Amino acid sequence: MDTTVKHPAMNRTQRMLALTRDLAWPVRQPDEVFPARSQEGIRIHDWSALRQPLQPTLEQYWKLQGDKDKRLYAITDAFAQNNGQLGLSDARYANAIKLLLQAFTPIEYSAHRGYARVARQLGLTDAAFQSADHLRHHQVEIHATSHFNKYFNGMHSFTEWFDNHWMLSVAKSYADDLLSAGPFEFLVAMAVGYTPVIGNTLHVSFMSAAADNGDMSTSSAGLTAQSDKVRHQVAGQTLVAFLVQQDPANLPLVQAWIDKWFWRSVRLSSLVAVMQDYMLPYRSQSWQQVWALYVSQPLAKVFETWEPLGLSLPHHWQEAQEQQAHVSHQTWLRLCRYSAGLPLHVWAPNAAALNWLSEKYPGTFDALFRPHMMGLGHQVAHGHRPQETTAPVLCGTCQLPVPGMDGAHALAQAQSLKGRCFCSLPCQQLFNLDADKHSAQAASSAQRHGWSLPAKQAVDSGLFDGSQDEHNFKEWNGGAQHE
Amino acid sequence: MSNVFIAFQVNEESRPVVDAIMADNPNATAVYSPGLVKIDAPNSLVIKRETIEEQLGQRYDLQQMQVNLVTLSGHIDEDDDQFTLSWNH
Repeated sequence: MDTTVKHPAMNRTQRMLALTRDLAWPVRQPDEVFPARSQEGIRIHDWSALRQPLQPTLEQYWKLQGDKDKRLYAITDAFAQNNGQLGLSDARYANAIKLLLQAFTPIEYSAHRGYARVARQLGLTDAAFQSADHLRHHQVEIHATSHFNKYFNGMHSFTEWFDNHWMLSVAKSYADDLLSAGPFEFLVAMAVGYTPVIGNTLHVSFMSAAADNGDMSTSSAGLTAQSDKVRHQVAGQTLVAFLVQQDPANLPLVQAWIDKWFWRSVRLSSLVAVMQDYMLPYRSQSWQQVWALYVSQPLAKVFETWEPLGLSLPHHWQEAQEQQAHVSHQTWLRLCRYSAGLPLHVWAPNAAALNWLSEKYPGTFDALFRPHMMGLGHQVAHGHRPQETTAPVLCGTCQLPVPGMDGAHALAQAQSLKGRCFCSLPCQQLFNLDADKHSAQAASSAQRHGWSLPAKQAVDSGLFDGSQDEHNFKEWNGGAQHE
Repeated sequence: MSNVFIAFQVNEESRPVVDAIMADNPNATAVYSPGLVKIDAPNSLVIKRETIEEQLGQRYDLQQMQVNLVTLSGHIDEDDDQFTLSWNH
């Protein structure tokens, strides 16, 4: 066993370059082969200056990904064979998985398509790996959650809902915006938006909490997906610095994309916030804690190191920080109000949950949200259930409901404004920067107003109390029955 | 002073890596949550192949670490023998 190991002559980076980029032949007319490289106004003088840490060679990549999948599928198989659904903390938890499937799994597929396009448009090997990674994330999330689809409602038609339901408009419009962006905008969006804001919350702290709630299947899928996303994050951030270093003309373009995609991702993260604060029967960290630990602190540090390059924090950084003490509660109340038409179940938080929220959100919860939550609990206890099935007015940019714009009168008002209603000042500013694109989005959201769950899917919606999910789970005698 | 961090899935493959990190970085702290271990360290954190190999009793390629890696923050400096996270550019 004591054989001396001869170290290879090339180091890791040299080996990686020799086996990837350096295999390609020099392109004599790059403008003709890669016309998209110049379409957004980005100027690159020396592509060879782009370094990609963590990047494996193709041979290593297959081996690594194969090892990851072997580990994952051993766990998901064991979970299914062992009737894992019975070990969930509570059937309420399944609704977090529904939201994951309905809103985020389809975005993974869009990211797969986006990276595939960018790999071709820019001639970027890394993007080809990332495309394969996102296809893998899409698939492993479906595989890992498919076991639940046998036992719970609200999962069977997730792609149909993603395309049509107003609640998922925030996610669908995000995916559409990504797919219609130029290649460099797409890369910056993934680097400073989706990966650090959604990946680092949904795929880290939420997935750990999923394990705590008895769901080793989704948890393992989420965490192994994140092992790819961390590589994307490193590659993306290296690329952002590279773009700005290549030409002074790139700085304003990159900064504008950072401003846009950070904010869009912040708005999209509202759905992760409700998953973290309201949909985990065994509670862990609050959304605000997760935000600070995994988004705000590390991103602030990244931007600090980018300061010498001329990049500054996203324009609406401060608004984003302030929003986090409110966003999960606002979103949950809205989901409850419209629960009659949603493809998942919601509920009034019990006393223990209310106390936990008070403790986690000392400045806002008791003053602003507790009375509403208690009112909802009171109504449900007296047999009143939210009945509203029409959609609320959606923000022209982020496509989340506009606060205070509910009911037929507000809808008529919004129609007269041709979709130019906004949830916030940052969303209005983003809309104005690209009014044509966002107007088209608003038109598609108008179509969503005319769409509602088919009658046969009524069993998927409404409050959790009295639902088939609740009934079944009790019948099976699953979970800890703690609530 | 700023922290860097790295997180792994908790399993038998990542255990020697985590042990090696804790041995090589006396100021690091490891926080365990279900399925996940997050290691924070002030300023920088180093992962050495040699220490992992001592823990493991066999050869180890630092690239294998990616199988159980979940997330990290900090700039990466890596070669065949060590992997360093810091905020130095």
